[in-house]
Amino acid sequence: MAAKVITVTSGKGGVGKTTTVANLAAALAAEGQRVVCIDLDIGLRNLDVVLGLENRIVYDLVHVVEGSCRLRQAMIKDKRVPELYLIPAAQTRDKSAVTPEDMVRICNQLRADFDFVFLDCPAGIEAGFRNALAPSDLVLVVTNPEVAAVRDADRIIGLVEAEQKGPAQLILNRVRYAMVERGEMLSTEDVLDILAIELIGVVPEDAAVITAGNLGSPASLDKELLVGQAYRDIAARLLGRDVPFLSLKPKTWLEKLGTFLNGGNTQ
Amino acid sequence: MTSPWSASWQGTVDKVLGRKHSAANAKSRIRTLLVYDRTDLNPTIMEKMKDDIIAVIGKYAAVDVDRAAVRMVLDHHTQRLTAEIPLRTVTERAKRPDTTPA
Repeated sequence: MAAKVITVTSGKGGVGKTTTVANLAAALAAEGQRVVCIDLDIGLRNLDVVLGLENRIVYDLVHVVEGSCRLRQAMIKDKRVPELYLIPAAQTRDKSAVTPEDMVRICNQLRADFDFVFLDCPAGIEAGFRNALAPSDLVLVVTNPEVAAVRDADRIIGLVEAEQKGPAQLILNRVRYAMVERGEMLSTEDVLDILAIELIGVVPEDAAVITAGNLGSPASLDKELLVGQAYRDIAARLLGRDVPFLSLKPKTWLEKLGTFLNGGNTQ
Repeated sequence: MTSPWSASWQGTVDKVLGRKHSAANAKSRIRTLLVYDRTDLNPTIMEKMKDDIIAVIGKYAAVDVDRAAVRMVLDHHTQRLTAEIPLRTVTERAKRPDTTPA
């Protein structure tokens, strides 16, 4: 089976692209899918840290491009899930070290042996974005419910369409249920109304993502977390399953008590 | 720390009282921004375009300049330019002096 190459992009920095890649990749690998993620942020790599694999880097993407190592040698295997690999970005080079053609070639090499290839796109619309877009089969645009992030998402969606890589799908990240209820944060409907794009997931803001980042262990591997469930649902949708969108309403103490009495079974 | 229960209650109260919150403001700001982003226009150009449109129509009819409006409409991924150019009838012009630019 040929892998699906998924580009995760946003335009604006800091909306949660890398976190999204780490969580979706881990969730899919936990389901038995064979997954590789590639960090394309040359000079500012982060995905290694979010996945907790930073101490095991020997070779990186630029070594592969330059032919100073084999593709397999640059792939760091995650030990928590069966088949999850990371190809880290080079930290000491600039973006010109990799071209869109290099990315198409590398992804084509990976297609035969994997189910999913995730490309973690750097912020901006320059070289790194072009590299991440060239081999893409599906583009996921990550945004937050705020003015600057939605504006940049719109720009990215337009560029993806112009490159004939659309239609992109949207992940709305860092949604605060209580603020939306108070009318102090754009709702999912507001954002969809503006961007006119298909939604693949809504992810709540959760301090657990910070904790997970501290530990280098994606939240999607934690079955207890609502935010983990949000990522696992997106992963399931990527597998073609029809999963209903989950309510981001935090549980009341009464519901929590019910779950507790039910032996922790949330169903 | 507001509990989700009181948050939704607050939301309902605000809806009943017709209170507007910052999300509505954010949405309208994004809409305006995107109209200009997507078309590579800006408010200054729009104003100039409005003057030009009024001038063209003014060659053939008496335009009510004060009530004329040219605006961009964001309709999902389609941008539309709508111009509303009220014309002054002969009787109106008789009552009120002509203000149409020559």
